[in-house]
Amino acid sequence: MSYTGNMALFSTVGQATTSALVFAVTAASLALAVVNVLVFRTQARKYRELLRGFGDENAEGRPGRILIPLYVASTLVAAFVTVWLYVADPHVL
Amino acid sequence: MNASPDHGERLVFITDEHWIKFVVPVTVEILLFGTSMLLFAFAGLSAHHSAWLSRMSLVTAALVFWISHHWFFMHLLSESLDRIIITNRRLLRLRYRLLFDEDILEISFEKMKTVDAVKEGLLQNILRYGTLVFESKLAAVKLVKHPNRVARIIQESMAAE
Repeated sequence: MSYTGNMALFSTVGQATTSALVFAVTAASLALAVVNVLVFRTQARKYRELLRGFGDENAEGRPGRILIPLYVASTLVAAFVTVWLYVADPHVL
Repeated sequence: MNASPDHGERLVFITDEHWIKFVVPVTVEILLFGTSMLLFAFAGLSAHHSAWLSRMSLVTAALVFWISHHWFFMHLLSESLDRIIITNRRLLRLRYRLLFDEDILEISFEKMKTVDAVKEGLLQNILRYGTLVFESKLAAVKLVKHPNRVARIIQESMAAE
């Protein structure tokens, strides 16, 4: 495996378009992950309030306590790997 | 749908849906993830032969990967919030779909006086899940774990009120 670092990401129109698409999709994915986590936490809070309304505050633990860290971590790792593979072009294959 | 503990309503039982609901999403995610990895590999292999084909494959692989990744986790997060809540006066089936949908089914024991637990087919009987059917199919709650036990809890709540 050799590292030849392809830094001519915008050298041609095709290359520039591909670069823009890759970076845009990665950025959109990170943003979507943030939105999903915020929406989930809002709905989980509504759910806990519903249970408190029945007088039972301990009926349910924290939903998503494993899923959210897993989701965030996998999104960050995938984004890093995607961008690194594209920018560094390590010729792994 | 406000709870009313001051009027004697109390939580009797709470459960989530059966894990069988995750089988299809996990299978689809595995297939899509595998497809995206194959496309990534193809993008790498074709880089020296055809630049545009490699780029197309790379972008397609990234799109397939990210769409399947987010869809899968949104599905898991949504399903993790689904609950079946039984109080002494009603049954609530909560169903959330992140960003898209929120569905709360409420079955009052004042209006529904009978409940049946139905397990259809080999899979439901082996895995012990089924459907709660109220008043001869006026309302139904699917994917209930141990439906006979839950039906008994509901019948006791109905009888007590």
